[in-house]
Amino acid sequence: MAHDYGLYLREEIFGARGWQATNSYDLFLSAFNLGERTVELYAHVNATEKIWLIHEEYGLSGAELPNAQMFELAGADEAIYCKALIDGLLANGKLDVSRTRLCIDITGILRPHLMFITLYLKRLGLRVLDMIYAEPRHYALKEKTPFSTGSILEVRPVRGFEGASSMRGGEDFLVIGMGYDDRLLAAVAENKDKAEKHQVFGLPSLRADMYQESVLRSRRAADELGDPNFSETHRSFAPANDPFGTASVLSEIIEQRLARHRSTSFMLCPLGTKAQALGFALYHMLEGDLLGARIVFPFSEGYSAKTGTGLARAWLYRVEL
Amino acid sequence: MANVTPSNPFSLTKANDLSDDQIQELWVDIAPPDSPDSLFSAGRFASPMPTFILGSKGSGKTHLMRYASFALQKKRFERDQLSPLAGARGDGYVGIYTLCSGLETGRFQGKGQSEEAWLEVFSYYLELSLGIAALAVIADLLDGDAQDNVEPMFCVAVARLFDSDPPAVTNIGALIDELERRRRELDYQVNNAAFTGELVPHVTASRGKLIFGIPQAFQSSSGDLGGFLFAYQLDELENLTEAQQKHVNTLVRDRRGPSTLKIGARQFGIKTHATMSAGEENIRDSEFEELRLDLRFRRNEKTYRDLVALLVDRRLQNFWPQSTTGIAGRHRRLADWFEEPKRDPFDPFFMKLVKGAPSHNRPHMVHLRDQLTNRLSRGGFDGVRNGDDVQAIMNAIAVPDFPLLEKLNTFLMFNAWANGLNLAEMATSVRSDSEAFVSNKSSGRYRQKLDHYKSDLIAQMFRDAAFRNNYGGLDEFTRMSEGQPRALITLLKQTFDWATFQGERPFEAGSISLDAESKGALAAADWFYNNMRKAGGEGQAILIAIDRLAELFRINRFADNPIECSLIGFSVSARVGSDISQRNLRLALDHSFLVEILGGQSERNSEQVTGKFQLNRMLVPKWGLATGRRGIKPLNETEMNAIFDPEMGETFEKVKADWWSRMNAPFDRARRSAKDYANSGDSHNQDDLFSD
Repeated sequence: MAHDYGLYLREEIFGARGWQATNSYDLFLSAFNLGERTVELYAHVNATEKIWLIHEEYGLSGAELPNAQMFELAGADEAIYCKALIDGLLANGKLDVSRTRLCIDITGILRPHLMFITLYLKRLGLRVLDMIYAEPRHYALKEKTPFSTGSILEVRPVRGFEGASSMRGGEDFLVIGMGYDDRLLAAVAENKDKAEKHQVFGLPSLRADMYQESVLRSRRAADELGDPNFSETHRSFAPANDPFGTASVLSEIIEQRLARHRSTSFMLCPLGTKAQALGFALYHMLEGDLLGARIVFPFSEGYSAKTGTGLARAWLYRVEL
Repeated sequence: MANVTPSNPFSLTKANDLSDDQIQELWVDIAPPDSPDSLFSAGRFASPMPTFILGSKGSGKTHLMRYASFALQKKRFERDQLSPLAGARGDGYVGIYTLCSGLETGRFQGKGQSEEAWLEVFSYYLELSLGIAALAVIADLLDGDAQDNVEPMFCVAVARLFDSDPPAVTNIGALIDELERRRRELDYQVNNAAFTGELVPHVTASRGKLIFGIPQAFQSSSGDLGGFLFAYQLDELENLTEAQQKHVNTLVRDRRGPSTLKIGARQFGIKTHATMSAGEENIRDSEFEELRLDLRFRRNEKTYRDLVALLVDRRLQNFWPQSTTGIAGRHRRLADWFEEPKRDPFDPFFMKLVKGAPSHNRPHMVHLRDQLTNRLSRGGFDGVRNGDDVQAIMNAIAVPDFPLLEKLNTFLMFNAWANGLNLAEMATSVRSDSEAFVSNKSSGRYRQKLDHYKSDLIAQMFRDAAFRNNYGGLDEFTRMSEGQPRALITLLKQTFDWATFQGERPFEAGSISLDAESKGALAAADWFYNNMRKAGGEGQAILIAIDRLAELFRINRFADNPIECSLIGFSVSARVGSDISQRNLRLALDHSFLVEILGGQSERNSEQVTGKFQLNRMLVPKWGLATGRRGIKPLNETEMNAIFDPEMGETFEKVKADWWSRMNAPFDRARRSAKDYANSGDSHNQDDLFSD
């Protein structure tokens, strides 16, 4: 039976009515980039200890880095990076999974890291975690905004979300969370070209025009996606700013697929918003893993350090693991 | 996806998008499967020698391998009312198809473990995965009584293959379950290493034991189970890392018993031929054979033409039945559905192209007159002393009724000018040749020049009329696809979309218009080109090089006096060019942006090897270039680096300016010794066209 994602707390903490009161935390983690959103949130959140995570993939120069407590680790994959971070916090007593009130701003965290860190905290026994996501007013160059930069290094499962091939059926089925990055989309679609593909668009989108922009971008990868995958039956919609809603939609898609094709090998690929990437991770942790599903991701050499401008709304998600 | 009815019979461009039934239905070959000429037998599936099936994207590797796989064999056995075992014996093999991308090899790295540790895990994982696949085929091969008699003995023999913990089971189903359990356990270990930093796999079978041992155990279980091979078909080998490929190469080298490997990969996807046997390399034709699909097609144009015609017909039969009746009803040849570009100089189309203007007002005549008059302002030259001489030349070469011939005449005049000949005399000679050609269509030198330069001349006339250059006709599309069936399907898919969008009824009524074909060709070129954009830095370097090369070819195509006709090819010595340039040339070849010209490539003269290459013809509509290659331009060191090194933008601008001034009136550059921009400057002035 599907998990009930409607029970989780999702709250707007910044919007038309300005800032709402939020809890105070023992520890706040956020990834630094050049977008205004993350900096504003960092300043606003009330926490005893705040740490900026630095992703080398953003290619920030020394002068651009913040003058505050930071965590950096070069040349590491998402597992090694997040393990070093969390193990370090555990070792120096800044994190105690049974006591620490922890908040993570997921806006700037790279998707594989965001997913791994959530899973790792769950495995360590953390029960509740607040996560924050800030929406931009718009993306810098509308549908032409570049997100990933440089070469796409590989398409591989995200560490910890690799699933088990022996539990999988014969027919590959790939659910893609659609975003703006057609390069990443084309890379994953081509790498998994045998798979039947199902697209999940962010709708309602963050801003009214963003849905159309994302559809426009996805058409650029039409060849890799294959024409049959553009039919109505291969498309779903999940709110762009709601991880729980996204997880719920994934659950439905997969339930329907299983009803039609028992022997399916599931792959998930979150290329939409960070809130949706969190939804993909939650779905996998609570349901997908049991089906042997894997989350795959096209890893790029770098990512733009600034994609969105301004702060439109901010959300708090209380993730109960 | 089998039950989706496409609105375009060519919308499924990839073999991976096709169902097993569609693979079977859409399969076409050029000869019966048992003929050595057939595509199927080229895969050598029933030969014990391992084969690498290589080809660029879309050359048909996956289609061939899937067609040869057991899933499809079984369908054919059923159709022919053969038992699986009898069918396997008849075919001489069973194909165990596995996609390397399905192994998710990216899992077997990082996580704080050494490369050696991962390789051991990968080796065991492959052993289990292929072992399970082989067992599944064996389960299908055995039926009824045979199964009951053979199974227990077979299971005992398989158990002996294990180094430790032999599975204690008596039927194949249980054996598969046990191997799957072990693989699941390994999956868990592999995943968990990300959290624990530990990897302690319990490896129960060493390299090759199951892969080669299971088929051997099967055929030893009973006297009547032999007579065929187990062909492990590993597709998309490019998805494996170099170390993992080394492991596969070692399996190729150590192959034994009734097993073999048939490996599919992009031609640039083979990272190494080294093995783990003391680092020895596998040697082609000794340890393995190689089948290069697109090369095979490009070598034999007629075979390829026949194949694609069959392929298109089969598509229409399956996805566009309304067309089948059309063809059958009207006995229409496939090529007749496509409007062909106009090439006949006497076609009234060319009069339309110049909008019916009188000779003296046509763009090519105006251009020649202006150039001659401008040059005259600096004094008389080459038999031209004053305006009257210019007018006499213009009158002599005018062909009011046939603008394409008139265009040829202006070109012949420019050519004579570039070579310093007497233009007044030349005009008289051109006039008499032209008149002779009009009256008796003679096949002399005039006709020869027309045939050679027609494509460029027509392209120039199109440009003067501000029309898009035409591409079309099944022959031209076939040529453009460069031996890649998928490229042809993409051309047809785009053309079909444009034709229906414009209200035509492709393959049902009338012909597909040249306009739709040209738009389709351009869209397909964009598709091909934009694919590379996604490749990041490496792709960028290729695109820069291809853009520059095409820009030079374009200068040639639209020049007053092109140095080569229908230029899309070049030759370059292996010793020419910096490391970066040579690397980028190689990359462009690997990604099929450039194509090696067959027949005479790697020409050996006294000491150097010269390679000949051309732009992939799928790309040429992007720049309005020719699809029929004739000329080949040798590149010198400066040109090679200016084109293939992205950092040499400034030098490239100089090369471009140099090309332009060599080929365009007043031909000042053409007459100077070539040494301005390069020490190695070579003079490629075209000879007098009538001196051959």
